[in-house]
Amino acid sequence: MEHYSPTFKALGMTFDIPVMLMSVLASILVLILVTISTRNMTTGVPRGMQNFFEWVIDFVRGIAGQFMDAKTGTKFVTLGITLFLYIFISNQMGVLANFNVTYTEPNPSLGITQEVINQHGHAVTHDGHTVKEVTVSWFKSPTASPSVTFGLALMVLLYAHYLGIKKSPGKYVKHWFEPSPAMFILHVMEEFIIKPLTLPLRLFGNIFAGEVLIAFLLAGSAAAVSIPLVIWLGYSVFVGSIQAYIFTTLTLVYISQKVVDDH
Amino acid sequence: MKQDQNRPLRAFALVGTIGVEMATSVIFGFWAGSAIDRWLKTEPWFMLIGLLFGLALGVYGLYLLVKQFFGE
Repeated sequence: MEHYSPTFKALGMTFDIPVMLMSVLASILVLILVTISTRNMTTGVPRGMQNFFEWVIDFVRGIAGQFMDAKTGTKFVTLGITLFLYIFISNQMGVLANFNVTYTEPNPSLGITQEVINQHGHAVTHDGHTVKEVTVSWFKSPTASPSVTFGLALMVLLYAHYLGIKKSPGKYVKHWFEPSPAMFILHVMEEFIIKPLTLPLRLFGNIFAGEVLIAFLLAGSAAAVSIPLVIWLGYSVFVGSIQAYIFTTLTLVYISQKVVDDH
Repeated sequence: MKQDQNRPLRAFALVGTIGVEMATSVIFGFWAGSAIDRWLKTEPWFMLIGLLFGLALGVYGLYLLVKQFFGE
């Protein structure tokens, strides 16, 4: 049940190898999807994948349109599409496939040393002799790792502040003291503690919980878990889509709070 | 028309947001208050102040958010 994640240390930070591989793979999948959908584009009646991509653009434009006027919203449609597709595909990766590899021999190039096997492995008896084995979950959702979601949220929030300052430094400073100077402390807490915590934790929590229950169900016997597993997989697909929508929506809300004048 | 299509999704987004926003604010207030209490040995006063402050923060944060969602 317990999965070990190979890591390496560089520049005083710890890097999780499966998460790095999966986040790169998610980007490649998005790139392939977008390339396929925009190949052989026509200005006439769209066919096949072009239909799909036009729907995605319309969908994100619709989200942006709720919070800002069409002209401002159009500027952030690209950001919205990128975030939506990346998070959507990331969320589904751990649902559709859940590959685990079990190591009994050290493989230092993958970060599995004898030390790791001794420390994290659990004893299993094969043909009369006992070996220690370590299970590594190589294929999983990158968004089930808090580092990825905190990274995404940090980029988005810094970008929102940057846009606010770029648009009008005076108004940006003023909005911290609106509607009254007493609100300053609430604004600071909201911007620097609550937003950077809630945005990533919501995404991470939902996807991580989904993966934990999938891993838990997969460990059970087929007769007992097959029906709950099918239901839970279906629900996880739904949760993954909703979370991608929520992250994109909140990103555009946070940006609109900084760039739209009427508040 | 587009607004109507998005309405159920917006409801999901709001429901998914409200709980987390409220919980994070209250837990943060409680944690910060308790930390000050441990530091100054004034239990339980700053914990209570932090809790109320967290509630206020949660409500205010949600007000800002809901204002954007129904910002007409």
